[in-house]
Amino acid sequence: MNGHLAVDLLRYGLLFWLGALVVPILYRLLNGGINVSGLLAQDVEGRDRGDTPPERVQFIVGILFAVLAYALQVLSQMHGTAPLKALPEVPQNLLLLFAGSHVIYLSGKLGRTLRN
Amino acid sequence: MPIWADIAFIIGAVVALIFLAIGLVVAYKIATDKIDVSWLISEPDNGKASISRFQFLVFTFIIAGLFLMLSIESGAFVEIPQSVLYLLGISGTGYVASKTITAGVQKSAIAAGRPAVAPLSAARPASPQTVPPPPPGQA
Repeated sequence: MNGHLAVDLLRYGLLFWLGALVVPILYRLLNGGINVSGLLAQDVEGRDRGDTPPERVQFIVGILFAVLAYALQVLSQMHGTAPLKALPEVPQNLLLLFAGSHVIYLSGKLGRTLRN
Repeated sequence: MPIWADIAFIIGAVVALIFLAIGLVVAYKIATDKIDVSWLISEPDNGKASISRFQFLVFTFIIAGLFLMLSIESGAFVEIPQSVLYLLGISGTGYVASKTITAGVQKSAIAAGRPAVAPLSAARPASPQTVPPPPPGQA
């Protein structure tokens, strides 16, 4: 057996496997095959249960922005002269934005829990 | 001892192929709906989609995909810098903290004699595994 062929088969097989997992899940998220009802709704007991609190909206926008920004950064550095030997560093501002988004979301959830 | 290197390579390749085949079977069953993923990001008790589960899912796929792509391009496992570990740590901690708050709410509701959970809109149907089979002769 050609060693390089086996290694290449395994490498691209692994990438194919990840794609085979991601594509059906993404497709079902978009066409309603995966339940997303109540994703932005308040889940804490009380009078505003079921409403859409702003901290949940900013949270989903924040995480999608952070993930896409980092993915674009990696993709833009991938096609350089030499292959990358490490994942690129996450910019400090992006890390702060991501952590801040989590803190706001969790604070909002905790605050509503204590209030109710 | 090149013979031992060849044997080690063949065994390694066979084991890796077996794991890859298992992974592909799982992916195939998800794609053909034999593994139900419709409640993948939902709370198990009230069927409401969970935003923290969603962010955890997105993050895992994106970071795993980027890591895999870079590893294939460079031909070796790439290093993961500390800032990426912080990012994953924040994501995981946020998930755990959110679930802890929800569990606290349910615990206090039970202590107060209220129902611990109430469905918002979509109630999760009973899992097929929990439905008792019909008695013999009535199927």
